[in-house]
Amino acid sequence: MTTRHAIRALWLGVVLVMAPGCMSGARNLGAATTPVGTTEVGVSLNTIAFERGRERAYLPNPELTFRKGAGENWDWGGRLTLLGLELGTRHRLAERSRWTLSVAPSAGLWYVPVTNNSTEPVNLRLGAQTLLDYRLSRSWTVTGGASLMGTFAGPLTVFQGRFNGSHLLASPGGSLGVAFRLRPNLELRAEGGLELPFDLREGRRQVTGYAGLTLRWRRADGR
Amino acid sequence: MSQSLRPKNALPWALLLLALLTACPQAENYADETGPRYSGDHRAPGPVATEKPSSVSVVTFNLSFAEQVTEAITALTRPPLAGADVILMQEMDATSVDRIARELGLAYVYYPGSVAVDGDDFGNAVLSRWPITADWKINLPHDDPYRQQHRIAVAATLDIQGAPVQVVSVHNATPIVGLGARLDQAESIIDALEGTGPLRVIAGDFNTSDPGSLKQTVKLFSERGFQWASEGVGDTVDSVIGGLPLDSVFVQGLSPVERGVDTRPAGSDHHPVWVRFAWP
Repeated sequence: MTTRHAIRALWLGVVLVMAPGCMSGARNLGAATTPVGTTEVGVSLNTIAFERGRERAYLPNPELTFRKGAGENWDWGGRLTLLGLELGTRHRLAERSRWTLSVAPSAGLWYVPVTNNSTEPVNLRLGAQTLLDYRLSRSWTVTGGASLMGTFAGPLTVFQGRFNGSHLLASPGGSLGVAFRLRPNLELRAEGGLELPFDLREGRRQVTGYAGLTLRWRRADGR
Repeated sequence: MSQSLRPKNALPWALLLLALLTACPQAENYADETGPRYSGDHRAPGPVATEKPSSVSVVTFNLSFAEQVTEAITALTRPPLAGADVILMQEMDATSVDRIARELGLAYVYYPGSVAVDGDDFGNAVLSRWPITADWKINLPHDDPYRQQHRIAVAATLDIQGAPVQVVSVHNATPIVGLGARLDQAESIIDALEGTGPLRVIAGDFNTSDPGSLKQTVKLFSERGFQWASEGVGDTVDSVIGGLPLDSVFVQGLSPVERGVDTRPAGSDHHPVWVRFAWP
């Protein structure tokens, strides 16, 4: 490999890691809230599908996630990408022996260096996801999700009061995941999802989506 | 909580970040539909040749802020660029365009789209051995999201032995603006030529450096009835990450018979791209 090839590979790697940040709708969450006094941390590796130019493109998108139990029926947490952070809460609304229903509002801020259709350097996402767990057994849980996210995407010049080129999007979406509890404190979750972005000015955009795996650890908080 | 994470210590950092975000200089743009406009005619006085040309050659050349005009003139006066019928230039200022046209004996029209970071105008030019009978500026959508720099294309109608030929000098936004936006820019140019004559050449710096961007750009032009006349010429820019195919020539109504990139030093990071068309 020549120096030029190495630089090109490095450049491509930087683009791969930095570009997709805010385009991922992946949350990789179940409906069951994290118990009070415990913290969960997870590592996700998703493949995201998104509109690039006038075609669809696919990129890997690593994320770190965490949740912290805050009350009997709610927790808080977020996910961290290289240039973005989303924080939110999760509230358990109902629970039966096999079912749990929750809602998870969230807000996120992402910086994406390279714009991409309706993605701009400054991206704010605000919305909520409804999650429904169905426990097949002690180890297996299936999770369905429905979400509605609102996104503001704007140029860096929004900080100077210039909003030329901004986008407002509404993105309804759905997800389906399956979790397998490897150990009492360790869960592996596979999840896929779709979003149907609608640009309030330009109309419907291409469907975006993701599929990925998350490994999540739970541990009791120290006193 | 550690000392460094206290809110009162975070405040100066937040203020510094805000200052940096609000201190980026904004580009000065020329959004006017009609100008500024510069034109001139340095062709040798006398009647235009009456013989039908056997071919017409087109060169597109991004001269990189028009810093090395002398080197550019040297390149444009040696084969295979010498004697080009049409030269489409980008990143130009008025003085440099006039100098090149004067030394090569060409007519020209030039419109700047914005002011470059060095304080000079930054725009596109059409230089021609044939009379320029009409010209106009095409404002392109999607300004740069960091400086709001505006991009344009410059269109001109050339009279080649009584046949009108539409030529456009293009300079699309950089990849920071995203591929969708650059395709919108290319489509705006194609749309702007609707209703003009059947002979059309659209050429320039399309900034197709990112993966897949050239393929989608060629596909767009193909779907709109244009042929990629510079197909196969290879990379047109040498950069730190290797060669990049940024500059292209698209055509409608003319058949390319010869094409290439002149990779010898020409005063720019871009290499001039040339195509010779058979005259119908």
